Amino acid sequence: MIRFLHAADLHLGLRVTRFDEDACQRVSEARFTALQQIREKAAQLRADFILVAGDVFDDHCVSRTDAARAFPILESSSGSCPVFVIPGNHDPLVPGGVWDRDPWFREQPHLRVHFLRKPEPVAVPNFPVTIFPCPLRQRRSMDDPTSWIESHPREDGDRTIRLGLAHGSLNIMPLPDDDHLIRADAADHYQLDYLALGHWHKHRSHRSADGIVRTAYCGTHEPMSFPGGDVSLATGWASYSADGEAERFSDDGHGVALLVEIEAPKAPPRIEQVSIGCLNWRAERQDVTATPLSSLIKEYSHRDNPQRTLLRLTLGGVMDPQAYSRLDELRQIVQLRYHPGSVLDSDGVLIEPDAEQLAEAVGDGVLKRVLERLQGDVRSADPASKQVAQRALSLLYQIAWEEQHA
Amino acid sequence: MILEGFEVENWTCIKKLNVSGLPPSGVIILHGPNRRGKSSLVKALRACLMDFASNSTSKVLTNHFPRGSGEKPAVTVTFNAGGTSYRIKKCFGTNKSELASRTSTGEWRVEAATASEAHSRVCELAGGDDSRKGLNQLLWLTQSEYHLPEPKKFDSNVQAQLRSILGVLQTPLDDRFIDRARKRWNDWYSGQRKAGKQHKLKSGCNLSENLDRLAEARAEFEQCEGRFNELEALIRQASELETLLSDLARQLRERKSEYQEHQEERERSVARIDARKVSVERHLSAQKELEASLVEQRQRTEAVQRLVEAQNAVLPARRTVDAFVRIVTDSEKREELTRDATSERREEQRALQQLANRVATKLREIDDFENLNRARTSRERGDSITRMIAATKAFLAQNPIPDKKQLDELKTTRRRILQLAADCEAASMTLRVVPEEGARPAQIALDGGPSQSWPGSPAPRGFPVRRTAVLQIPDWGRVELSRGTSSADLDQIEDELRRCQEEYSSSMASFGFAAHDLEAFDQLRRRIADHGSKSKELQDQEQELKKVAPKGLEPLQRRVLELETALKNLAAPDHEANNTLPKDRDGLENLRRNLNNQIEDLDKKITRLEKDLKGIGADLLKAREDVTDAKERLAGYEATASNRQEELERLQTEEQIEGRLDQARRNLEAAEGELRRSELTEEESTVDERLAAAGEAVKALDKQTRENEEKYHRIKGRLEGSEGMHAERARLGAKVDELARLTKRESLEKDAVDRLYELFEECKEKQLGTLMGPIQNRVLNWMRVLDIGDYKEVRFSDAFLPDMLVRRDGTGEFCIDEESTGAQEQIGMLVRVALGSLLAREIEPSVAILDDPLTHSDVGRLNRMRGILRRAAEGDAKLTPPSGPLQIIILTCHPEWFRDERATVIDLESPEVMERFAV
Repeated sequence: MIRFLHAADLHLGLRVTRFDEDACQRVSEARFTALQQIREKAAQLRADFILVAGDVFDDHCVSRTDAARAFPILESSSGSCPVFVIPGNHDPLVPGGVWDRDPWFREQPHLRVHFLRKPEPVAVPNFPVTIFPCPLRQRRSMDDPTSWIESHPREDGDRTIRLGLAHGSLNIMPLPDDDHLIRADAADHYQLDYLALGHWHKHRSHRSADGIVRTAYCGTHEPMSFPGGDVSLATGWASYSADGEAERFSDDGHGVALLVEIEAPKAPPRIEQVSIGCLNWRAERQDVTATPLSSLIKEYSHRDNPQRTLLRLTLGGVMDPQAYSRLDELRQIVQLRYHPGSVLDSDGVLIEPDAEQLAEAVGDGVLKRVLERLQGDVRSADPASKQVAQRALSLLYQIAWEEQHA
Repeated sequence: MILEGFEVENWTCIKKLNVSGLPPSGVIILHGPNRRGKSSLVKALRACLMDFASNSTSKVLTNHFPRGSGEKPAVTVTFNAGGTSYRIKKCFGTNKSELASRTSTGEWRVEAATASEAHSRVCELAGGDDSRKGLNQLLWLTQSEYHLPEPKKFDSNVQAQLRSILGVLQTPLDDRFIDRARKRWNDWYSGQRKAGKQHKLKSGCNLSENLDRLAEARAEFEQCEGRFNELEALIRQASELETLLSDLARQLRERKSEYQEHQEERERSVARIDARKVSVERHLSAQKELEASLVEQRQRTEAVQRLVEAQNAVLPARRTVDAFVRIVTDSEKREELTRDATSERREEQRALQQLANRVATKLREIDDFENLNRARTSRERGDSITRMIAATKAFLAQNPIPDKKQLDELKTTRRRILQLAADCEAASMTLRVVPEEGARPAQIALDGGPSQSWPGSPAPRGFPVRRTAVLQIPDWGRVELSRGTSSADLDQIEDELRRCQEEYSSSMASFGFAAHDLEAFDQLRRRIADHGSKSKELQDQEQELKKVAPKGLEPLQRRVLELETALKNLAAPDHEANNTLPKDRDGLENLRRNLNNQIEDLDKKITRLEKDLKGIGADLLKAREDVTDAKERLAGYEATASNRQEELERLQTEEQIEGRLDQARRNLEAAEGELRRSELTEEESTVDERLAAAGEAVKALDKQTRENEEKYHRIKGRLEGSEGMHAERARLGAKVDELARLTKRESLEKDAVDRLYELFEECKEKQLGTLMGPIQNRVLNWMRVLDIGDYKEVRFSDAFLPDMLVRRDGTGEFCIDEESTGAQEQIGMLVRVALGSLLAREIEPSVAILDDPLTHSDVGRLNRMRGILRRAAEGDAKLTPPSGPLQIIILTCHPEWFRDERATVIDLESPEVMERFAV
């Protein structure tokens, strides 16, 4: 029996832009921490080796520092298991790219890191395992990266466990033609005991014709998007695929890897999700109409592990002007208590005082008429006008309330 | 508050003034001439009701104390406030003040008796401690004040009162709100927001700077993306190159293998190939030898043929030379004969020419004589004409004549003399003397003239007498006759006659005629006629002279001298010619013609001979050239024949050549046999070619591989250089996103504030229009009554004061300042009374004190204004909002401007009303 850890899409040197500089740096740094966790988890789970199915780096031109930092983490200590790595579409094997640089370009063998440059069978030392690596040399291609395995069928009497290691999209849904499409029955067709895939950012397994799962995407080891797929939650990262914003490139907000156990050739693999990762990315919506702001303040003040939570809290609903003034309190909690980059978006909150509050807030003068006009504007069909009107309304309440209570 | 009455003592020029029983509303006119104290009275009322406590030591107040008297001013005002009558009495310069109210029984009850308390209370009742503030700012006009208060300076309490009546316009919260909104707005924009104007962002504001930074960051980011895309293209290129290089490597391997095979094949066939080469060379050599022998044979045949041809050409060439030599000899003989004939003709021609020259000389002599004679005749005629011209000119000079103007004047003067003489004659008396037969001669002296003897013929005679006549009759005595009446007319005629005669004499004398000779005029006329004929003669003579001597007599004289000299200089007389030649001109002319004809004939003959001679010369020249050419050709043919002979002698003999040919043919046959035996196979014959082609292909592939490898390495180098670009892209992307987020948020904030500001202004404007509508309508109606402009709207500001006028035809908006001074004053007054009556109540009218108002208005408008003031003073409870009554007190020196049947008129000159200090 063999036991190995299947990881992919590490995207070290991640390029996110929709955070401030400090948050960007921390988010990027968290991926290295998570990489360390893979190593630790492999040791903890006594994995025989680790497969990394592409996209170790976010790009082939990541900084020398990032490239250099990754290597020793994967190499780890002398007692560690070997790691087999292939280039993905983000870090394809291009001349002068990250793989051509030190330490990755250094003459092999490394002790533990095996960077598989060529599509040729590789025997795992000390194990009856043959890996069929499918390294990518291009960002996009209409070729099936696994097709070369066709010429290496299992020979009679071959008792090795055949593992495919590839990066691309399993052709099981409508996909762009040049997204390194891998035939859906690749595992069966190439007589593979397990096809370890990378490219999609959340865990997904695919059953073979015999109903056994031999093909799986492990998901990214560290989240890089807020779950939900809302445009407003975008981080500035996008895949190099033609449909780079597609759902398959979203993760679940937490990092994972797969622990795979295979008893013998042709035996069904046992696949188990292993939690990895440094940060939890959470995108939450709260309705201030239903939940009082004070409750929200209390809840977000007492959550566990806030420093490892990257929170994007979006508020909606209607609140009165007095409560509105406490929004900043909640904003402070989100921004200071949670991981840098956490934000509170209260643009969707509408302030609607009752009649008494209204009269008190704006009086009987010109402001009353202004308020009426703005309330009309808020119902505008034009989103831009509506947005301006909502903000103007908030300002009106805010200034009027402050002046009343000055 | 309204006034019920007032008493003033010792205030400036007012010694005592007492007005009481003022009506609570309506127009009250206090009138008096200038310097009567009207303005002082207003100041006294202001001081008493609001401005000063009685003990005030303000200089402004003490300036009103009467000078020299030492008396202290005292002012008492009775007024009604809130339905209660009060009386305030202030003795200025002292502490004496008293405020009293009237009880229901009509008695006065003291409310305050100290200066400060009384002052404080009365200020409360009157509406303030400054008569220039509050409602008084609108209704109490000082002299020459016609502008409305500036909106910013308009009393806020009055505005508040108006707001309370008209409705809420702009609350203090609104004010604070818009202040903050404006401050916020000024974070992004400069100046004031103007409706409809697209405001530009203030340079240097945070948003503007962020937008600039965003634009820069985007440009930088796009540049980076451009580089990134280039790299992506390079990656694709590198991938293609890898495929190509792999393919090239395969091809190179194949080609190298092929080359190797060809090399081995060649090594195997090398001995046979070399043997074949030798055979081919030998065969070639035999072929060459045979060809050389054949060539030699052909050369000999040709040489023989050429020799025969050369020899055949020599004989005809010799014959040609002889023929040309004969032609030359004949031509030389003909040339000599022709030359002799030509010489003879020339001799003959020379002789005839000499004779012709003599004839010509003779003819020229004859011409010279004739010309000399003509010249002499012309010269004499010229002299004669010149003399005649001189005589005519002398005559004309000696007998001057008047010009036409002078002649006309003379004619007029002469006619006048004759007329005046006739007049004198007519004015004369006639002394008729009828002597008897045989009477002795008597002496008669007429008009003081000398006595003349009258023979006393028996015929009666009359003597004209102008003034006196003395008749001395011998033996009888004297008879003196004198004109008895005045002779003024006669004197005048005589004077005129004398003047004319003097003038006539003077003129005539200038032409050489006697002074008083009236007949001389006829002579003058004759002279004028003579002058005409003489002038014509002179003209004819001058013309003739011009014909005879167009250039004067001098050239004629010179011509004569020249001809005379020429004749003298003639050569010695040709006696032979004189003897042989004809004497006359015709004979000479005929001879000359004959001679000329003969010379001409000879000339033609000579020309013909010369032409012949030239032709013969040309023929001779050509014949000589032909001889030379023929000789040269002959020499050439002879040399060629000699050369051909030598050439032939240099070649081998025919036998020798035949022997060589036989040997060559045998050699060739042997070589051909050897060649056939060494024939190569197809592979053996193409192996070199194939080997070379394979070598070229290897080289080409090698070169292509190297080139593509270079390209690949260049790309690799560039891609290696892109290290860190991902981080750079991330950094720039984050910067762009951050700035975009910031600017978007701030832009939204800016738009929201702008919208708030805009809406506030719009709502305020709309509300203002609604609230100020009644006031605007009232003022606008009154303006139409006064016929001020053609406005459809008076736009009020939020301070309740008008700031714009809008034309009915919509041609534009105007500030009130743009109207005439009179109209500004009238509009100001209308607004004052409109706002004043708005604040007045039925139970508590307001007082307006107008010191010398409407001084810029014409009579027409004053008449209409009178009605408006009266109606405004009456108030109208039916209006919305209601208009309260006003007590309008007008102080004027023109009571007629404001007086109507309902006005209360008080004459300040009335001693019952006012007493002034003596000035």
